[in-house]
Amino acid sequence: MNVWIMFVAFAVLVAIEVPIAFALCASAVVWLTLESPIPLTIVIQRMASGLDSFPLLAIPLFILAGSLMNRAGLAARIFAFALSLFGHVRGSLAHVNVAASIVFAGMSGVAQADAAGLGTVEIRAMRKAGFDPAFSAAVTAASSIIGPIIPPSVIMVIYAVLAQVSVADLFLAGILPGFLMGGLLMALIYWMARTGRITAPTRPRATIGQVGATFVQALPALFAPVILVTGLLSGAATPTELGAVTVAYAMIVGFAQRELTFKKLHLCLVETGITTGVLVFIIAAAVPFGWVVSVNNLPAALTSTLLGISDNPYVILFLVNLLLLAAGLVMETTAILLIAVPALLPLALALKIDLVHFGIIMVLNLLIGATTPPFGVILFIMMDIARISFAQMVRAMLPFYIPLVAALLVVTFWPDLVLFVPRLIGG
Amino acid sequence: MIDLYRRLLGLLGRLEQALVVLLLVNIVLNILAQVISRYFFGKPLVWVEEIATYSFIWATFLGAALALKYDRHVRIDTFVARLPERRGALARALVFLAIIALLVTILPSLPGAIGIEMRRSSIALPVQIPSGWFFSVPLAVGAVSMLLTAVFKVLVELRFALGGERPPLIMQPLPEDHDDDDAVEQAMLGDRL
Repeated sequence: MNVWIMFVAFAVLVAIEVPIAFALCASAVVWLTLESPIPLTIVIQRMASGLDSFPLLAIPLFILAGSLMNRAGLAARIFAFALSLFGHVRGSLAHVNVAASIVFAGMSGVAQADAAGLGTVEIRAMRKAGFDPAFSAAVTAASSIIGPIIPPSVIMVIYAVLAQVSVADLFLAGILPGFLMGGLLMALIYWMARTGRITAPTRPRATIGQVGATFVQALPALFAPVILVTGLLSGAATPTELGAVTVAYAMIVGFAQRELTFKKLHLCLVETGITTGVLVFIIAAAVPFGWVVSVNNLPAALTSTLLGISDNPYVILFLVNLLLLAAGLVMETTAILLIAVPALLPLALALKIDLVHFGIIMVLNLLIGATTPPFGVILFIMMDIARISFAQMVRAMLPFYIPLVAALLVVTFWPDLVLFVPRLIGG
Repeated sequence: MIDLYRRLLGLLGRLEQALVVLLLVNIVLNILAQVISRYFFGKPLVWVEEIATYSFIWATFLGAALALKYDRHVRIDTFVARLPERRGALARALVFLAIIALLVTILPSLPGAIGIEMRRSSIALPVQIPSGWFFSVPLAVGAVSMLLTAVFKVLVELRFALGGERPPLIMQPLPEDHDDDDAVEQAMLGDRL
């Protein structure tokens, strides 16, 4: 029963550009038909029932919330508010970009929504102000992954369901790391502007009145994360329920401000349906793959191999990070998560690593992978919006890996930073 | 002939799209109803979660079939874009052949899966509905729809590879996510700052 056939089949299918979901399912089916006496029915049946989970329902809801936020013009209001706060700081619109991403993150659950929706506003504004398009694209790419670190976060929902930890804990655990990433990115931008590595035309300082006016404009958008975090901290509602509340809130705000129309709402729903069909279908399609991995005891083998190298949790976490970053270079984020979480959980349990902490490490790591060449999805979205070449994109991106990896290392080796907020409700 | 096939697929796609939208609305309304009934009336509605979850499973598989028609499934771009046009079409035909092979292999096992699930029933719903309707039936419906799409894709890509017409789109791409110039103007309120 050589299980490597499955991995080879998967690699070949992905290399000839079969969509990830189909490649995952097909490679498992190849192994099941060639190497195993187990009837296909038993495994296929698990695909649909794998989705029978209330926490997973948060996924379409938070995708819809992000989509509504973009189409209801909230992204632009957030940007204008951030501009009045940071426009005069050295680095100007680059800081505005990061700050706007942090706020946007509080309502959007996928990096793509952040990169494509808010990103378009940001890149156009930066170009207008005289920033280099490649640099603008790189800042936007780097800051867009704050979106899924600060709650809500679709990828965290997937991790939470796989690792059977509380979605709420994971959401809360992402808040401080998200601000840390933003802070480190801003520090890099400040340094780059200071040393003349980038041209960053600053704007005159906004008056208190202007700050106030843009704040009032952005207030409805700023209030959404407040609802979410209050709901999570008080435990008054589940993350899924908060997803529905956020959707209702975004709709009310959108209609009240006359930015949202029924036509736009319909488009948001269609967009969400397609994204759900892509993303959640990967989860279902990965079920047979995960099943084959576990019946072959691969997680146990991986655990004993890694424990053979060291039993120091920090050494192991470092190795896991290297492994995931390497996987992130060549694979798609959700697919790695679906394969890696079941494979690595026994290891985390054996070393008594907190599973919420472990989740934040994995999610942050895999999101960095979505911004790395040659296959990072976010790079491709940004190239498209900024109309630059892949080489320009990658070159501009290089300095930004320093703060991103620094944030990953801090998060890895300082569990208390991650666990501080979830402990507020735990105690 | 192929044009008729394309129009039928387009029709199927629009049907799936309408259903997915309704299912998503249903999910939002049900969960909101749950929140409201718990806060304002103090009693949670048990079956609401179940309806929402089943809508979610249906939406996922119909959405997956729809996404294939929009050509939106995530793949890693390796070499196909760099091939000469007609050879690229051959490579894409190969991809859809692989998808067909997968669907043809798993479809025969679905009646068995549905059979097992039909013996169980939904748990909390006020009416008894066999649970197969919410699990492997949507998977089977999605798989059949994807099979129809994949066969169409193979036909049109091969036709193009052999020197024929460019492959037609099944569904027109959705308009962009934002009102570009408006959004930027608004963001650049800054000009007044």
